[in-house]
Amino acid sequence: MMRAMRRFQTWISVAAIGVGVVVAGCRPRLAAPAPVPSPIPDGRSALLAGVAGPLTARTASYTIHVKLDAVAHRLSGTETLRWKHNGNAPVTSVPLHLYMNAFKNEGTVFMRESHGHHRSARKKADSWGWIDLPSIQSAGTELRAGAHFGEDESTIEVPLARPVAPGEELALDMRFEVQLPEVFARTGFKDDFHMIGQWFPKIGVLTTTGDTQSWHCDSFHLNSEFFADFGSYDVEIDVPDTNVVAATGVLTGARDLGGGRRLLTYHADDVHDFAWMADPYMKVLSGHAKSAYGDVEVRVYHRPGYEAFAPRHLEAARRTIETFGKLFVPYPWAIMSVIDPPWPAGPSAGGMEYPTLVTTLGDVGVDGLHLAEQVTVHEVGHNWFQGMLASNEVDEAFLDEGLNEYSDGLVLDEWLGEGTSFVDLPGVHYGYYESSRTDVDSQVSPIATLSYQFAPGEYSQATYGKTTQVMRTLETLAGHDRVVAALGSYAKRNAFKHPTRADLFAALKDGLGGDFAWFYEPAFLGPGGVDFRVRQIENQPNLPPAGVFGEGEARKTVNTDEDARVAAWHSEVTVVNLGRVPAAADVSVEFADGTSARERWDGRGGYHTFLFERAAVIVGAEVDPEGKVLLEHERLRNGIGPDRIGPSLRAAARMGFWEQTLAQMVGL
Amino acid sequence: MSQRAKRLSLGAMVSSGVAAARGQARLLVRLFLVEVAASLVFIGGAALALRDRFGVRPLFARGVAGDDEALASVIGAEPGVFHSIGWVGIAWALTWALFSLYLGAGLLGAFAGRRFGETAGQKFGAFLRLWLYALLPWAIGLAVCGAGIAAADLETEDLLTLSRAIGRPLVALLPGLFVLGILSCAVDYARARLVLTGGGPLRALGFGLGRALVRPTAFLHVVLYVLVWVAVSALYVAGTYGVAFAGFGGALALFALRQVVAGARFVARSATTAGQLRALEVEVLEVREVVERLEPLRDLGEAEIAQRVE
Repeated sequence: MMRAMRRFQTWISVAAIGVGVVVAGCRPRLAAPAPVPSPIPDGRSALLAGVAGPLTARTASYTIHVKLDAVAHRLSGTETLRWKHNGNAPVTSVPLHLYMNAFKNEGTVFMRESHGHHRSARKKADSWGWIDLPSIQSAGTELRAGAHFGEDESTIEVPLARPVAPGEELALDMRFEVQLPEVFARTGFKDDFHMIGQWFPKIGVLTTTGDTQSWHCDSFHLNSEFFADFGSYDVEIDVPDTNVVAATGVLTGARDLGGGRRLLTYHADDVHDFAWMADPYMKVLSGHAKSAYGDVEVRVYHRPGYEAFAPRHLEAARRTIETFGKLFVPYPWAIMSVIDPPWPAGPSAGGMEYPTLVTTLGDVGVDGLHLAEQVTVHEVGHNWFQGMLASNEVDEAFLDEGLNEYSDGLVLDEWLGEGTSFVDLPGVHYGYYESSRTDVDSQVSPIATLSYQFAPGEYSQATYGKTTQVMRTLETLAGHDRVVAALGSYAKRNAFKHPTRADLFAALKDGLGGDFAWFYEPAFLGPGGVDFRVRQIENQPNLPPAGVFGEGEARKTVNTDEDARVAAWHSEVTVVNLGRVPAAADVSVEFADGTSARERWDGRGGYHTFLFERAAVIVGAEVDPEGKVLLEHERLRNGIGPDRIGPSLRAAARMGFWEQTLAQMVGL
Repeated sequence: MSQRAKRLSLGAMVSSGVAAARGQARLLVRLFLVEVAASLVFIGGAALALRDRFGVRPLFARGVAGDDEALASVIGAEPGVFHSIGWVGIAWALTWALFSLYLGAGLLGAFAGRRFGETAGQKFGAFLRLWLYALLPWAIGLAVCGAGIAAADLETEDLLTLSRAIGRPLVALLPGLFVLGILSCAVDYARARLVLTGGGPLRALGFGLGRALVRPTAFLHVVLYVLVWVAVSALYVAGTYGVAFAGFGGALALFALRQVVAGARFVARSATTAGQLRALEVEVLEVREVVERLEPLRDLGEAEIAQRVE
């Protein structure tokens, strides 16, 4: 009996350990949503006090009232659009974006291109998103019946009752109803969390080139983001009083409506989009960043359980605002909100930028893995590259994604260290820029490709990665400071406009202190990258030439003295660039006597032979030994040296220990 | 006759195992050297393969010397080389597992006071069949692990904290690990029984399973070994993580340190095996004692036996 009892107790102990492990591994649970205190209006203007007057022509301004049904995940709204015609010819119809219709069915452009996948997320099969626009009125005239959809229902063309002349203002009054999808491709809901972007009818952009004007109002494509005119936004949001709300702009009013509802009013100036988030569980961590225009309030919205990451996001946002403000143009808005979506919504809702409000991602509980910092810096950085430099993301995505990605490294490297800005774990170090090295050799689409025309799988690599690689490689030619200064010049010239690649090239031409178009034009406009190799190393004894010299009496035969001691060697190293983009690089040369030399190849002409007269032969050479030319993907064949077994033995010994460990697990 | 059979406590199993291992120190050293030699063969092959591909590449030398970005570039450029070496490593380890059936039988024989080669030769076939019979339960254990992971519904949110990132998969694997632990224990006892008393491997496996399930001490003994194994490995990781071990001397020191770790784990394994054998041996000896005591009664009638017992 005693023995049985002891046996029972032992098994109970084993079970108790198991239960302990189970408890340790459980997810925390959230309480039911409860009313939250009414927020206090921000009490400040949307633009910082130091900003003198409007920053833009405020071409497209919106007044919106929207009500969120948090149970049905539905929005009901009214909207007044005021659009200023800044073109040069009368306009008889206007195109509107109805982005939410991209998620209406499997036949939309977005769904056909994405097959229901976006980034690492998959669209939930039975959760469709759509927007109904039952009424569009202009000066009391109903226009909806005459309107027709574009390539799919994500755009609609609205014929006007009368043409709008240049300089005139058009006002459109609309009613709309939105069904949010379960969060997908930046927008929607996940349980109680609502991230609401691309949700209201939004006018396209009319651009003028010479005498011609044209509308830009593309269907919502998988790889294309957005393009819109600047304006002012006045938005009333009617939400359950259990929700914490964050939105573009500043909160100008908060009023409880009774029945568990609350009306929040926001205002934003000189922005080209408006997004908001509603969630019952969000907490706020606030801080400040300095701008030349004044003090920016930075807020990080996060759920319980995510507290550890909030200070990291806050610091990332602060540093970005301050660094980008110094290098490019100062941040002009009063607030920057960073939303840290709960993980189940993260892959879809996280990592997106809107004016003065961004969503982040990357909360991984491993210190030294700087994913959270990287995402926040990137998204906040978008408030410059697209938020202020409002390029056409559909046509030239690299102008915002790529230039921003490059600029993020300026913040991250200064903050976290050049070689550790991506990963800084004991024994494992990786720099941010190095992590952007992509396989440019296998890409057929140039960076400057329309976002929906990239070869499959190339959009991200070219737009984000290759652009960063080009800019970083440009630093090796023109110098880091000049490249940053040129980018700053591009930003200052084009802030609050719609810059194009021509504006970027002009800024580079003016700011780099030399003509580097031979590099950056093929790099941006053509496919491929750089592929350095050491083609050949030749060593010849430096002896007097042998043979027959002269004629007649003067003829003399000089024979090679085989036994003569070679006092000097004539050596050659030939380096080539097999890639499609020319680039300059350092070449290091190693001699048998332990000395070395360093040369610079200007990268012109596809190959170059370096000549040396030394007492020792060349035993090795390497192009770009430090890997500074980021536009090169494959560095292994850049160099050739003496055949050494040591490194191989060392690597094999490490593998051998793994093998031995496995053998011990399965054997004896 | 109501006296219970003798059983070794956990402490006694450990101490007797350690003592037995100490008694066979020379044999253990030889066996470990065989293991090291096998590993060196693999290392030699891998080194030649790597040299063939990367011997003249400075980037590879820098990567091996600690430049993580260079190493990532090398692996990214030639992933096939590393995959191939990895597969060969797995195959080599499985070959060692088969060879271990011979060596393991011999070692158990030595712990039981018999000649190494004789027991190894005699029991290799039975050990091999036992290994084959155990494949199905192993597969079941792995299936339970897989089912646990599937049922746990792991999400990216679980990466929020390190404890959750490790805790949840561990929870998910717990039932499967338990099954595998029981099976590991059962196979160990089956081997010990095959050496001590002979018989068929299937019956031995049944015996081992019964023992692992009924005797928590036997199971905890195996758990203890696993903990020692993990602790030694963790100490190695903690002591070498981020340390350069630069140059030829560093490489040599690292190799020596790794062999110390491997040796410690080898000794722990051997001591565990010896402890299991000792536990079984005590019971078998006790049975033999009883049989010997009963021997004089063989020719007596039932009534007379009853009378004597009383």
